[in-house]
Amino acid sequence: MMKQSMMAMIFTLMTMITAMTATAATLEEQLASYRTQGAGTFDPKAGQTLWTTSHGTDPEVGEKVCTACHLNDPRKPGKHRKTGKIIEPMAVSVNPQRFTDPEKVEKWFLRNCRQVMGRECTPQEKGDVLSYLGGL
Amino acid sequence: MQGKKRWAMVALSTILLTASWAIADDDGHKGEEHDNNKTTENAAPATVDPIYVKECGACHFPFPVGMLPDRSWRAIMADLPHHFGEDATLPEKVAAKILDYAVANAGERSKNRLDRYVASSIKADQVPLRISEVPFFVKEHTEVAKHVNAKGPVSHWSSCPLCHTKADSGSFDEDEVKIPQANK
Ligand code: HEC
Ligand code: HEC
Ligand code: HEC
Repeated sequence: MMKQSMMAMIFTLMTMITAMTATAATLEEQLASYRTQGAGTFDPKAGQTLWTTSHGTDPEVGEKVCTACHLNDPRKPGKHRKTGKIIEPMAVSVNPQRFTDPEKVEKWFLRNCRQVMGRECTPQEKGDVLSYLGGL
Repeated sequence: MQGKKRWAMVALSTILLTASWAIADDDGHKGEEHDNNKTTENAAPATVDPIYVKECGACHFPFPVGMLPDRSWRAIMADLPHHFGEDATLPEKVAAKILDYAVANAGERSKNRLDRYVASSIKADQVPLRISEVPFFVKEHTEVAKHVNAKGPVSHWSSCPLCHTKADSGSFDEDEVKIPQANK
């Protein structure tokens, strides 16, 4: 009995570690690709500022800020402000699935930056945000 | 006649289905594959395209494409950057695939009974962008309209599965409706 649960625990831990390192690698790759597009050193603090800065209010959809859907604490699940649909946590520490699919990452950066900031995000800004969300 | 038991079952399945819909990762796959397998005898026969579910189920329930005509899907897919106030831009190739799927299974072509009612209630010169504004929909929902408001448990019509307990498997039969009640 004891032995079995120990084994189960070790197995779980190993799976978790594998999953975490796999994500870290992909996130690193993502950041490296932003660097080849001209970005410099990434700053999680700048990422956090972008995450929480409001760009005014749109009469149709409400406040223009990332946290309108994702929350100030990215470790908690958010909620699409207009449809109510649950959005899983954005912090990699609680949701290792995050930022593992580069096409998905770029699709949402394009949509959400245009929606919130009225323009696309630069590679520097995207890297700052990902280093913030990846380091929580 | 087993009244209590039946209600308990209905309540339980509502909670489970709602939870599975709400929890399903937006762009994730686990939840959706699971839902597709869960087809019941009441479900619409058409299989739902996984790309459609992934992309068009990211912000809301992936609405059945049989509930709008061909021309509506063309109009919706032509302006994704301004999608009901949201930016829902997709890479061109993905958008083209979704349009193909939607057009092939649009109201005009659906074999589903309810889809045909929906389609036939729309005038030929109308291009509705919302299922929730189609005449058949409005007529069926007049009595429950008071339950859909910002303060209640159902804030938008787009949350079909909150009331239609089998919506995830494509079924909208009136026997499966259960209106969620507000917490006291
Ligand atoms: C109107 C609601 C909304 C706003 C505002 C919003 N997002 Fe999102 N965002 C979403 C949804 C929905 C998803 C898809 C969630 C999922 O996959 O679980 C998403 C996904 C993302 C992803 C991809 C996550 C992944 O797993 O790859 C990134 C990156 C992102 N958002 C960044 C931002 C940033 C930065 C801002 C502010 C500039 C922002 N979002 C504002 C709704 C929003
Ligand atoms: C970025 C988020 C987002 C994505 C992605 C998205 N939608 Fe929407 N959609 C919305 C919002 C917000 C509404 C308005 C909801 C409301 O007012 O209840 C909406 C409403 C709709 C409606 C009308 C619902 C009604 O009231 O009957 C249809 C139809 C629709 N979307 C189709 C699609 C299709 C098709 C796709 C995939 C190509 C898609 N949506 C992807 C955000 C999104
Ligand atoms: C507030 C709860 C609620 C929401 C949200 C809701 N419905 Fe309904 N729906 C109902 C009720 C109640 C009926 C009528 C059942 C009856 O006639 O007994 C109904 C009837 C229907 C019917 C006709 C069913 C039949 O057998 O005649 C269709 C089709 C339908 N709804 C589709 C939808 C779709 C698609 C959505 C999402 C866009 C939706 N509904 C959202 C409560 C809801």
